[in-house]
Amino acid sequence: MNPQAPNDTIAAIGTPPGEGGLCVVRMSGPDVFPIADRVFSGAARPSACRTHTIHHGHVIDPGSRERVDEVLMSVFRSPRTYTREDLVEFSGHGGMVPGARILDALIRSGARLAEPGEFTKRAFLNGRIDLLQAEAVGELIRARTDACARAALRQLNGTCSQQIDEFRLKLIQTIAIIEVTLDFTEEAIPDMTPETFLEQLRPVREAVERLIRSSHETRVLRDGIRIALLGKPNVGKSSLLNMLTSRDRAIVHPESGTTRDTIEESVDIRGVPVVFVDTAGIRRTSDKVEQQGVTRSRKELEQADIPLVVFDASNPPDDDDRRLVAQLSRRAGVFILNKCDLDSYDPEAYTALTDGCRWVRTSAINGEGLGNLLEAILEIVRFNPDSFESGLVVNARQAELLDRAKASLDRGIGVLEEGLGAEMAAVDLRECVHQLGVLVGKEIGDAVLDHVFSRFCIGK
Amino acid sequence: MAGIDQVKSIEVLVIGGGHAGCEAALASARMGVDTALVTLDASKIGQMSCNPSIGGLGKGQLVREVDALGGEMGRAADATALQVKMLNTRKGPAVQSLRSQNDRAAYRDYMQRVIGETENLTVVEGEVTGLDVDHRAVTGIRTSDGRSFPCRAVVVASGTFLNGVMHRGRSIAPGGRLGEKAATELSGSLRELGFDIGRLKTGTPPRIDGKSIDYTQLEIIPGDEFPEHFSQERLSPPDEQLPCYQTFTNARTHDIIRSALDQSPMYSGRITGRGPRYCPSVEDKIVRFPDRDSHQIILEPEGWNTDEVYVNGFSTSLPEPVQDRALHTIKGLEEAEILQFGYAVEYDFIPPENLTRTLETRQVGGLFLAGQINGTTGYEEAAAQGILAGINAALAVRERPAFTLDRGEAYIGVMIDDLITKGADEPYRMFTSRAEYRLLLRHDNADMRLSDRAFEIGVISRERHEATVRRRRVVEEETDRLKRVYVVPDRINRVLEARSSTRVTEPVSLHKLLSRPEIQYSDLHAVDPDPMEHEPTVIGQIQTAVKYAGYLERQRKEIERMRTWESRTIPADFDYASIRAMSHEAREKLTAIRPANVGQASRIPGITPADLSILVVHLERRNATRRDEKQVFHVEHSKT
Repeated sequence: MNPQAPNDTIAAIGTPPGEGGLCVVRMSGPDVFPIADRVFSGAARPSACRTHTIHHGHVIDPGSRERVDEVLMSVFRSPRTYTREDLVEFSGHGGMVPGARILDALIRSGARLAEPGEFTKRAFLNGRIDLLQAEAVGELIRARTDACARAALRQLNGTCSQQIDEFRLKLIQTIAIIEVTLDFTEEAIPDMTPETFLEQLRPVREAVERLIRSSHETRVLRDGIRIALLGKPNVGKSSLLNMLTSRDRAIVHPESGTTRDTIEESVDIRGVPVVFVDTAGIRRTSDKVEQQGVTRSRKELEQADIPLVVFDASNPPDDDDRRLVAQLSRRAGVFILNKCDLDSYDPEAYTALTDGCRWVRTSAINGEGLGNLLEAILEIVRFNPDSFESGLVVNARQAELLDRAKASLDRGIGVLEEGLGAEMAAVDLRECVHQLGVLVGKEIGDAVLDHVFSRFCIGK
Repeated sequence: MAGIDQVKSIEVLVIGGGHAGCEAALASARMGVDTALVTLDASKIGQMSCNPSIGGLGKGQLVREVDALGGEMGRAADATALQVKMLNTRKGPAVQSLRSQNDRAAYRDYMQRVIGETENLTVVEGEVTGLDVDHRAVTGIRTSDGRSFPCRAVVVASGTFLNGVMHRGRSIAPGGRLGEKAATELSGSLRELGFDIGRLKTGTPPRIDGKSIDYTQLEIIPGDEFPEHFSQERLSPPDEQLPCYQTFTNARTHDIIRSALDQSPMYSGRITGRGPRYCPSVEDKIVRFPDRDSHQIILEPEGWNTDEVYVNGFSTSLPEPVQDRALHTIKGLEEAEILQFGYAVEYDFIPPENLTRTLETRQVGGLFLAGQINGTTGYEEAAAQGILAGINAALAVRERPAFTLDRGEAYIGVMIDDLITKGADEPYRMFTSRAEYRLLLRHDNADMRLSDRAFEIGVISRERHEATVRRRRVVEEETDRLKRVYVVPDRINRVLEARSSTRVTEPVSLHKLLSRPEIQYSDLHAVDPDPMEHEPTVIGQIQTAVKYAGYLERQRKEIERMRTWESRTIPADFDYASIRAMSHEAREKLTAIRPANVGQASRIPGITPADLSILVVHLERRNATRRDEKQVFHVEHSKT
């Protein structure tokens, strides 16, 4: 009657879609061994294997008994497994086809196709991981680069919560003192002014602010940054993209206006996932197709985190160039003076147009200036790979909690600074403690209820 | 008051005539239920065992709530006040409370007169030795003289009398109060019924002869110039007040006490029960704060017609000669003559995790517990539990729905939730900080918060309810009007300057003006085109509503959120043991406390968010299964 009850056996491909050297199919539940016995052919019989052992063999079609794929089978017996249930994994050859065939064999032998996140859900329901960790698993799965994965792993281990917990405790101590002054009459306690409390609260606020900054960095890590390449036609945007991504992805053609569509390319710059978007050149044009491209370029510009504006500094600036500089000089971006390999290169004609911008000299032909360009980009996203070890991985919900914690703390400090009642400040500070408590998993937030149901739609 | 022979039928029987017992018996009788109050000594009903004072921080809120529920404590305190003082007036309205010094004898007489005049209420003298229970429901009580009283509900409010033992120095005597015997057999009867019994202690300071005090050296503490009332009914305002006096212990006092600690029952290990941390004995203070060479002592008058003075801050169980010597080192008390020495009392309590929100025990139907037996300390805490237990005992015998209060409604709700969720490791005393929504739960709006509920169950009159509703409407309408009325800068700036408040350049609402901390409601009169006259309590509430405005709104939202958690009820028979995913500790705690809902579960110490989310998932799964089963049942049913 309840299809969600974990009394059935689930299976799914555990590796991401696409080409790869390996494909892992995972199966968990009470019938793992009968099913594995049916589909695995090798020296060992799965149901007779000891836990945490690996065995060579083949997955066979349960009907025709034909070999499906050559595999390594890993056997994990309950309870020391990811889900705390019996669990078997088959590592087969890469690519979707062999993986799908292994999965098909398992399903035809009695397993059910797992829903997204269902292994994690079982791990949670069986008490193997808590909700915060379950969340971190989600992060891990979505992590785009190694650095993200490392950060997500740290959260999984629960170490990054310690820092938050420390200043949460400091806040609790301050609240305790405030409460003493409220709950006892003046005669019974020594004099305490709002300044006494403020001295303790301000360092906490600084710590929260630092945390928000570092969480910004890690958000960059997870979501990546979007960089739009802009500029007049034929200034070398596509060549630059090729240089940045080291692949001949964009079509490079001496005839201007070649790039009429936007082209996206993901790269990893020191652990930061970056999406470069090459756009059609921006200029006044009568060509209908090219006009569409120009409109799209402007849209890309709005969505981008950072614009990279490319100029051909081997030619003097014209009205289009001046207009671009005027439009974009106020946005945090990088102005690239390309074609420094040419004799007619005259960067000063451009840098004179505006000051206070980041100007970088490059050659898309010989790769000169690439290092400087990357530095400039990282500087804008304020990401320092060395400081990352103290970073906190946050998702949207956690970021909101942090922001709310800071807002509560700001209000409480404001109340005390204005000399209003400490009983009001206490409300704010308690709120702040609560948000931080939810963040580190020590208190339960409203989100948990919603969360439980959005992640694990149970009983519906 | 009917004599014993006239006792015909008793429906609700209250054991104990202290602050909890009085409120329980009065509430039940006033709800039209035949009620009996059984006490060891009828002449001690309404006795203030310790300090001659009602209210105080956090406690004043409880008194006002008891009053809002039609209780007697507020009226009794008003009628017998020697001195009235609003505490914490330099702080915000949410943390202010009223306290009165009271005439000990007059308070007791007042309470006995009210109990005597109350219909449906009989007083029985005797020692209750046991409860009669049939099929896990109470059916009556037995007394030591061989009588038995059948009844349908029992409220036990035994105070310090349950196996009470008094200590002073090395002398030990059974008793709940000096010169009074203890209830020794009831405790055993409760144990037989399956209750755990714990032990707590409390203490009281010496009383001295006021004629022997040299007041000329001491600082006088007068009452308020315009004394407020606890009760909304504002009985007989005191036209005259008696002052208190302040003095301090000193290094010599501390030396004497320190050198006699081996004779203290507390420090020689003879007392095992835990005492109230917030109301420590003087020996406790000296041991716990060795750096302080002085502690405050307040000399409180005991009544209009007595010279007896209560030495607040000097609670002790040291031997008599030590009390004598130590007291004489204190300024003003050099020649003081002790009329009654301080002592400590140890008594039995029942860990309150056994209770439901109505203060009924889970083990025995119809058995309610109130006051110190639940691990609390304080008259006000006792009265608040007493009235709630009495109301629910009466509702239970009438088979009407239970009356409960949650943390968003009243301090009483906070206290009961704390007790049944967290237990009492030490005597529980109310503090404003225990109430997370204290900006809303103020003593000034207790009647407005509770009047609807009180009227609904019939514990306050229609007139009183309507008066409260009218006052509530005035506050709301006036707060609203202040938002709509704008005044031009010319007119306001004069007022603002007079209050050294920053000038304005554009028209502002009166509401906005009043929200400034330095502006009072009376300041608005000069600029208000349509000034209103209101009584002081209403003005106070308008000011509070404006000055706390944003915060009140946030607290209301918090309460709503809290209630969504509370609305997820947990079936009483829910099987925690079967949830393998939950930690062993969590399962044990949940099984012991049996929270009524997920909200309460979340407040149990040691229950983690992980435990809770697992609990929620399992509850949902159970509900889903139930829904499915129901559907199946319906289908099969329709087939037949």
